[in-house]
Amino acid sequence: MASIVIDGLVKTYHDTRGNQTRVLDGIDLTISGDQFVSIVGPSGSGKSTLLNIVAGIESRSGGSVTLTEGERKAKVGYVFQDPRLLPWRTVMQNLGFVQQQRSGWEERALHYLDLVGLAHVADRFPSQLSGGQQQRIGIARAFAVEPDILLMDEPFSHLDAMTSRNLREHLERIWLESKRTVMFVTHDVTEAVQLSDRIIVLAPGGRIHETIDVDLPRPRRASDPDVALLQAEVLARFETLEKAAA
Amino acid sequence: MTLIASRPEKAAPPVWRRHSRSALNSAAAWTASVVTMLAVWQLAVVVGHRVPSMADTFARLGSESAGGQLWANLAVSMNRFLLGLAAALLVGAALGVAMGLSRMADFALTDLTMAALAIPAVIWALLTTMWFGFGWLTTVSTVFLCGLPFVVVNIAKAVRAIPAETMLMARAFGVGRIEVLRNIIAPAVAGSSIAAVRFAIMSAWNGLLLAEWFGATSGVGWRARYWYDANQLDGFLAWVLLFIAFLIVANQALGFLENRVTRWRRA
Repeated sequence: MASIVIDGLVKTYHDTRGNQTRVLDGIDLTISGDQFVSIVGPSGSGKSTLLNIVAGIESRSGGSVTLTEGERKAKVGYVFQDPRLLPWRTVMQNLGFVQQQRSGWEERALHYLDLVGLAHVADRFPSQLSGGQQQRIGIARAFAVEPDILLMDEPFSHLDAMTSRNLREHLERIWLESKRTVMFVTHDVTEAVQLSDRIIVLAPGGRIHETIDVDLPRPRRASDPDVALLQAEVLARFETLEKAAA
Repeated sequence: MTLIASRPEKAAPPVWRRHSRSALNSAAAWTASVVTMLAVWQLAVVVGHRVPSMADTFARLGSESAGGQLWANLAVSMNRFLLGLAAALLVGAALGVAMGLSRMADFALTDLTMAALAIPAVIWALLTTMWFGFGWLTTVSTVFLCGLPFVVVNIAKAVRAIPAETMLMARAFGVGRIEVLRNIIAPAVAGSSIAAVRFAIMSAWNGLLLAEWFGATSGVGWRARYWYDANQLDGFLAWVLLFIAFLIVANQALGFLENRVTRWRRA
């Protein structure tokens, strides 16, 4: 069983004058099992910083982060805000790159391309695809490494509403099929309610404001009454938090 | 009532026709370039003083070929050139990548590279002749020193231009250094590397001829000097033509290579 254990995590930035800005202030959080956990919060609450530290691409100022799968270190997949595909490699080669050509990589790549409905573009270059298609490739790439933990940083924020809704459905379907530990950063409360088992709300200054458990049946639709009700409730709490921050 | 007849959409021409049209355009451009050069030459013969005619020059080239001088000296020069250029590309690529990735390496090598870039080929040729005397080391090291700074500068610049987000993506997925080098750094710098090789070839070939002129007893530069000393301008010009022909062929080959490595940009 994969788990993310964050203990007393602190992140501080120093500007050129030596002033300190604390963006994460003692985060304690444990995510384990096949949970889909969303991190929401107003701008500047440190959501992306938290995710980058968990991914190991940003340093921390204090505390610890441990990613495990049983006794070993967990394998991580990452879906970025922009897909970050290599423009000089075909779609298939992009998926092969992150898998470092491990045995069976082609079957895995084709399987996940098929799940996002893009097996037919495997030999195309990223520039030949639309923004939505590129983001679907980004999702397939993250799943193709068969990660124990999947990190996602506002993956649908640059897309139009229709594409974003379709991709959410794709993501939920793939996740239900493959069941992994997911840490999902978003500023969209609707998205968080539709996808998550648990929502962590960060307050400005990088503290955990509250944790909301979402115990609704899947697959979820934004139009389901229970989903809509919870969205409205979370949104109201979120707006109160944003007003307080302003 | 007005009826507007819709015109059927024109089908795209087949691939073979587009390719043959492109080949025809290239051939036309090539022909125009050669004709312009020959016309300028003929004009210089007519109005100029002591400019050898095309017939005399090509006749001399023929006699040099028949006597074995042409191929023997060209082979010697190519040998020296390829050796020096290969060393410049290997060392230059390593230094360029180091400068692009490490700020410390960048600080340590930028001024030195700029100074090397500012030194003309003739100075390198004279310096290496003084350092190493007459021999292969003089010519090979001149080629190396003339080509190296162009390779370093272009590759360092291309590595610096790789988006940090791409490198972070590789790190987030735990991709190893060799794979990053093969799949991110090498393709990202491929286009600039061709530009680097192009400048390096021009500078290094220039340096080679000067080094052979001053510090060798064989090669294209030495043979050009032989005819210059003999006051036979047709012989001198014949070897200069060879020098120019090499640069044109190398440039065309690099253009072809550049198209291959950057085909993803036109996809």
